[in-house]
Amino acid sequence: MNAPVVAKALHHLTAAEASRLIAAKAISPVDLVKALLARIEAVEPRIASYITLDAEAALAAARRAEAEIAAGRWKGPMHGIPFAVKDNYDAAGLPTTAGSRLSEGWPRPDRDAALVARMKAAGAVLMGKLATWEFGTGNGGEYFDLPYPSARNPWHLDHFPGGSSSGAGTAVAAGTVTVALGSDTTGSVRLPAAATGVVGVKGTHGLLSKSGILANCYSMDIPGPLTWTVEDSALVMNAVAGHDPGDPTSLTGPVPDFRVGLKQGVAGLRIGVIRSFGPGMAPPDADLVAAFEAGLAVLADLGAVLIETDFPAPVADFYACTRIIGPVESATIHERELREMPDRMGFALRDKLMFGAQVRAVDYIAAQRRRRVLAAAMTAMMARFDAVVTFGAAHAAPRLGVEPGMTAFTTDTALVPFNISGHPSLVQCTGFNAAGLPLHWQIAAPHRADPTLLRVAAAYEAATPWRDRRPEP
Amino acid sequence: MTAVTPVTSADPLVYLTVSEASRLIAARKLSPVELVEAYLARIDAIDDVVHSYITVLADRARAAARIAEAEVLAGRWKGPLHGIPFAVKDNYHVKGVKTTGGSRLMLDYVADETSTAIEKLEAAGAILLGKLNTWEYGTGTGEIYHDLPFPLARNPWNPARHTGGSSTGAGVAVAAGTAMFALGSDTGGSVRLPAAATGVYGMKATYGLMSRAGCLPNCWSLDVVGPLTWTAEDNATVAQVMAGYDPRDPQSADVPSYDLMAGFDMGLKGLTIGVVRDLGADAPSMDPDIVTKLAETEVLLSELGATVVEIALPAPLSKYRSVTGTINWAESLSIHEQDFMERSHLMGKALKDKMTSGFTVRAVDYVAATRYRRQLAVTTDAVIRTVDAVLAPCTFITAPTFEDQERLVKFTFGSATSIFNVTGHPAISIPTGFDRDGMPTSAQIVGRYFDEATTYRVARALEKAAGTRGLRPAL
Repeated sequence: MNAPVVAKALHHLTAAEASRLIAAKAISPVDLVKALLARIEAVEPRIASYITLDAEAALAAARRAEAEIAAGRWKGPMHGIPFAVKDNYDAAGLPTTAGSRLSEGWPRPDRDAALVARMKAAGAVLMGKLATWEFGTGNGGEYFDLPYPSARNPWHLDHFPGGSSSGAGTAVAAGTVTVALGSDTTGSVRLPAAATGVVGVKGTHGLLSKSGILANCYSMDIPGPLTWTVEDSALVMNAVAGHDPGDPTSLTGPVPDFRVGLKQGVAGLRIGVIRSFGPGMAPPDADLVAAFEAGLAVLADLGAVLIETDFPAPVADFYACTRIIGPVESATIHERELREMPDRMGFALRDKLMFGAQVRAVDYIAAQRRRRVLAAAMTAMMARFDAVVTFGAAHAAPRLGVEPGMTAFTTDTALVPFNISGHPSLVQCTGFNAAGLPLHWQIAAPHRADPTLLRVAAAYEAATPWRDRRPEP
Repeated sequence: MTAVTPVTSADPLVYLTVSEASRLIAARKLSPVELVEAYLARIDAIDDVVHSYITVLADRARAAARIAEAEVLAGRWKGPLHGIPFAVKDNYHVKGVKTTGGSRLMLDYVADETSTAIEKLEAAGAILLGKLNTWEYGTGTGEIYHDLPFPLARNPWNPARHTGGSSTGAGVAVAAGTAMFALGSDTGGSVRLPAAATGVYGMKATYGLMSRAGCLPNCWSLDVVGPLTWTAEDNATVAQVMAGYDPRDPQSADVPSYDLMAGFDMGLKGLTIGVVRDLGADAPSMDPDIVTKLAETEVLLSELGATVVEIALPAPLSKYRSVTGTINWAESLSIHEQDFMERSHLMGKALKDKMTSGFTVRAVDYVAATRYRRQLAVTTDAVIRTVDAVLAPCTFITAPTFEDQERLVKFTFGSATSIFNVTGHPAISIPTGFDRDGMPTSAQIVGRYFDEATTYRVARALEKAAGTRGLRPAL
């Protein structure tokens, strides 16, 4: 067997690649962290992916990992892999800013969020905290009024990198971190993935603990990984998934090996295809549609059985629920701040809370009831397939802060039905448009079929060239 | 207190307990047909006074009685409820039978499904006599305006007095002998308050233990169905049949079935009973006779060998009440919003008042209340888990007269029942005797989650020691 060769810039290694090289002692975690720090120094002023960078702690952790691996105590594929988290996750000793002026003066947490702790326990190296919309939420617009610079799309700096995990997709695509963790209430992991051409996974609700992550909307928040490849998402899921008594919504029961299907292909899988968002929402752009159809041809060539299907109700109906539930639960969380210091909020958050605070209880209850009906209908639909392929957003990343494109990108999506239903879903890159911005689609699977979800995405990824191109911001 | 044995016109059959009648039926010494006829006669004789029923299903009951009789005679005795006549609050659906909910909005509604509770009881051989009186949709403000479509149910111990609500006919039927047992539903106390008013046992089991499928909702997240009976044993017998997972109720608890009468007759030696004496500085005042009866019950618990310790709930009663108010108003309006907007002139004032309150609740307040509920449930459970069972007050006064609006509201809302709707713990209202006016007094026995068995065990021991079951109303 030949000695491993490092064929590309270390900052663009995937976690899986870096892990193999680390395990083979071809590179050390210290090399990797230093390469990322150099990359950060070079591009971060333009992309603003981080709110807090902890270079010293990262180097110290990398040195520990290096020593452990040298001593033969390799912990597994996350050992020595750099990661960063959206700045609504707690990390011991670092400020949790939530991207907000409201967090000024908060004591620094003395505990890691459950997922940060699990990543660290698996040997991963925390680089820092990533850019986010204020408290991971907003009204869909960008108003340049937050205390930290807006993250930029590394494929095109005038464009939006997706939100609310705005730094997470950017950092992974640009190579300022190897893997990232974000959170998704109505698309906040998958939209950044769509905008920046990375993989963003929202697993089965309850698989990943929310403990130590600031809430945006109790009944819909889900954390999830953003990575360059599907395999990397599987590695992160393997490191962090599992029951946590600290999260009352955490699932119990066995946790699968998320890598199990990665190389199994899709031959014989029954894959539902949903092309329509239904009435009340803008249809997807032509270039997304073309990439979608080409992607279906790839799956068909690989032997998948494609079956036309539909959402059980117009996507707009799902939106009607989340547009009540989201603002209400956010307003419950921030009610006191809204009353006492609304001037310290950005417009996007304040606008959302002003609405949420005025919703009547009966309308919230009606939305939750409708949600339950829609979720049951989704489960019935999903049960007929191994996986479902549909669109994510209806557009590619818009120009940052320019309406109506900004709000259209965040609200014309088919992401929300899977937040309503809790089914696992992911977004991945399906090519690039004329402006060089990533295109994408969305894959979903039945409850707890996360390995199948990743299996389909991995087969598509292996059969297409989209992972060969990196942005150079 | 009252020592006079009242004069009654009742056929002694209608004053049998479920267990007594059951033994006679199993031994073929009593026919279900004979029993049902006795009840129908009793209804004919006194329901014009107490108005326990909205609908009597005489033909249906007679047909079921003949079948039960034949089955028993053929040696196919189904168990302790075979041939036992019962009735349900008129918010339980029976296929092909009117469900009125006590409301002008539903006078012509015929149900197309049967509630799971009734299905289970009928499968066990019990015989449905009819549908019992209720406040409109099982809800209200505690006030009584004499504006509902059916005559007001009246307390058999004194027809000038309140029956407890919202299951207004259920306690009356059991105490007066117009049904051998009854089913009610309890959102803030609507099983336990009628039980308290009429001197019977009323169980609100652990939230999720008994299916609510096929019952009109009042407030999904607090509603519980439950039995009202003359004795603790009867209550456990009925509850055992009603308990169990039902996929038709999305909140049904998927727990393994368990024996609700485990340890039933083992007495209290070795048990630690927590006593809740203080419900907060802002709690309503308690009538002296209620205080005396609670103190006597405490003493009795000690004499029976229990270790009695005082425990303190984590919050005053008023906090629990604020949670149920916000949640109940909002969920009730969510159910009735269209009727409220379009046909509120058909609603009684009590329901309309509650709907109006619901209209003013903001979503953030509802969410805050549900979050606070969870916190109260967790912290209350931590206290309850320190003991085997709890003795708590039930109502703070005995059933008031219909003229006394202030005390009517106090009877309903100045009680300690809603605490355990908030937390979901099993709580049974037990009779503790009579006050100076001859009206029943009550207390609650509360257990750990899914430990109805210990609450029944405590209720049983107190029942045997106090010997209050011999006295029936003079009707």
